[in-house]
Amino acid sequence: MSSLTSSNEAQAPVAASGASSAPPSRSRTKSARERSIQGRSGFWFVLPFAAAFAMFLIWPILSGLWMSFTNQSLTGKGSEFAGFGNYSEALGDAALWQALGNTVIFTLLTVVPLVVLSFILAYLVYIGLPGQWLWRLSFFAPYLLPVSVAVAIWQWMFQPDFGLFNGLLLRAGFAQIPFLSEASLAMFSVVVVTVWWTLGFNFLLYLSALNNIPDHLYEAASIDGAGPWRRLFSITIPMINRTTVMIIMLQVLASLKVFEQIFLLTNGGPNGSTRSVLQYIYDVGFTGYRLGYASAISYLFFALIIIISIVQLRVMNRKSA
Amino acid sequence: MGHDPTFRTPVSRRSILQGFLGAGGLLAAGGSLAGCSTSPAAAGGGVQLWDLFQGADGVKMRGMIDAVRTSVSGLSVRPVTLAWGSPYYTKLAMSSASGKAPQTAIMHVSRLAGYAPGGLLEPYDLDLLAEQGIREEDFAPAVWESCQYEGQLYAVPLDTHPFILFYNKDLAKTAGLLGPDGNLTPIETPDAMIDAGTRMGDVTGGAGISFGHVVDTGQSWRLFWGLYAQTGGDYSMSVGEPASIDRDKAREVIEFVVRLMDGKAMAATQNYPGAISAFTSGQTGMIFSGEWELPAFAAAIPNLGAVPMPTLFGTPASYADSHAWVLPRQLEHDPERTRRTYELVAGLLKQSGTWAGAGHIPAYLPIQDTPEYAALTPQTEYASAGENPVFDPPVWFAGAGTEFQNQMSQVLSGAFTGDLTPDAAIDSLLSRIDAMLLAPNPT
Repeated sequence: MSSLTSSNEAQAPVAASGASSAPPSRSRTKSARERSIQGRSGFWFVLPFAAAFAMFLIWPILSGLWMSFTNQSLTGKGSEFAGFGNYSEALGDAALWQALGNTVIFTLLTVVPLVVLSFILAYLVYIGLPGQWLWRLSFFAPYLLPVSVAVAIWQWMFQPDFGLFNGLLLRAGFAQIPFLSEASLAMFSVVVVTVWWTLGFNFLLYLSALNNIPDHLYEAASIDGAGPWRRLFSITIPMINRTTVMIIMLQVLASLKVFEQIFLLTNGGPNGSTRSVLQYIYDVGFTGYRLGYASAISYLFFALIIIISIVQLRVMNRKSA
Repeated sequence: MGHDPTFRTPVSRRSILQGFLGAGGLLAAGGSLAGCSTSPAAAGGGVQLWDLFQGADGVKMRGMIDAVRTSVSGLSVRPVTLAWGSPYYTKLAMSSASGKAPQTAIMHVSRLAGYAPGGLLEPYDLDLLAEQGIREEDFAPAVWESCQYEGQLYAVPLDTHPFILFYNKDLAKTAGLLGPDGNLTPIETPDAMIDAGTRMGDVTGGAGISFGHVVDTGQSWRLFWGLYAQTGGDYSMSVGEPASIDRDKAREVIEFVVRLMDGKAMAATQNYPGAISAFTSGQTGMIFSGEWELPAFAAAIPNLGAVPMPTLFGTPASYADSHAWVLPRQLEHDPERTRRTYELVAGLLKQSGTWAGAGHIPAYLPIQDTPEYAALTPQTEYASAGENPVFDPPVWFAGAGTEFQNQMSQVLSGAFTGDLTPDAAIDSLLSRIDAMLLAPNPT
């Protein structure tokens, strides 16, 4: 017994040292010391980013959360704890609910055309409109414009009396359309600008997805006698399903976060009918100096976005699985 | 956080990382680059000045500052121009709160009620001002009064800028609206205003009067509040109590604008830039506008006339605001630097003849008596608007570039175009004001 155990004990270090000295296995298993050196140097490489990340993301998020429980003002006053006052005020704030409603309507009105239209345009280019490069350029070019330029262009086209649309309508003897001055139309105008301006990105994603579909699928389908419509619905659309899921998810998030084009085009008017949640936060916090209340609204909206994202992820995963 | 961000030789990986940390620490500590740059001037007694004047106004203000620099020996001024509007006041409030404020800054007096009580501004020392030759009797009483808070002077007014009526004299002549002196025949009733607009519309073939109010954050309020003051209507707005205005008189004003805004006498759906383009291109012959648009109008229209807001409801009054020099709160007081600041403010007032060229009525009355000012047209035609200005109600949330003006303007704009009945609009105005009177005052 004892000789057996001693020989085992004697063999084990030999085997171990033999293994560690053999070059091939050295690269697979590392000693604890080597691992700790590698881990430490990794830490130093990550540190600059981690520091910036903590400083400009984690810390603001936490301090914003704290602020939402105070009546912090932009002028430095009111930093003492105020409980859930801001949150209960937010739930009863009619202007916030209006802004939330506007944001949801904007999201519904933009996501559908930005997905459907960009697919149709990408498909038309893909199946070979003559002069493909020209179409590709003209569908994508608006996306390259800064938001201020895109808005300035449309602002003049929407202009009453001598804007492009109203000028033509007047000359043809029709009544003018108050694109930006009527509550019911202003959101529609914002949606048109947004679709025109941001369509190009989705278009590009769709175009590259379409180009990645292997040709042999189409060839095989043609041999089996599938017509163009059958090929579209049974090959093209299923093959780009993953891209569609990704585009819808990105688009919903982008639309919920709308701010710039509304701020520049209508400043939330007329009568608050186009003010989005983000603009309301801006108005409350920076124009109204109530940073505490603005933080509370931000956190409510943040929670809402997380819920929407989780629901979306669940639904989309089920669909694409 | 005490690491020196400058690299020393030999540069090791660690020292670079420490440098990043040090630099990041400085940022996190809130010491902005702008903050650092104030220290050399502090040593030399330089005066930092903030304004919000762009375009023609900006050029004139820089010219005035240069003139003061040469006339006051040894004065070093560092002017900073920021964009007009609510972002300017956001920055001013933040700088006052953090103690990094400029020595003097332009503020609309309509914002004083939101700034002076919260301790963001310091009051002027009247004796120091008098040393520089600036006294109460040099200003119109209404304007001087608007710069007071609890018996102390918190702002020195540079100008009064009223909301007035500009007209194209050539078109007005064709429309038969000019008197024998070649100026607009006084318009003294609502019906006369509508009639004048309609006759002007007959000449232009479109609308007679321009008024840019669509999705604007102030215009409808300016028109309404000035005309409401003409009716002599009372109002009460004090924190914690429900607001009240004279309903009948407010309704009278709104109903008048609705009648005027028929697309013929006055354009119905113009926005701010659209109204200016229509007037400067001769598509309309008159415009309700702030006088600050004068340089643009004068450049386009050879025969430009202007009058204070026509007295349609009995009492002469024009909606107005005033650019004034204020003293943002400082953490440290250097008597020498304070004296320099007063010298600068006084010097700029004495240069406000230049300022009048941009259309503004100089608040410093001695300038109005100079032959240079008397030669300015159409400035002198509306200078009387500076005697009966109507400012925003003195509550903390009112004033230029505020959410208050935005909300009031949006409701009134809806009423003017007929989306809201006058009574529904008045209800909406009052309920919004009530909500603001109940909201916590963040300053």
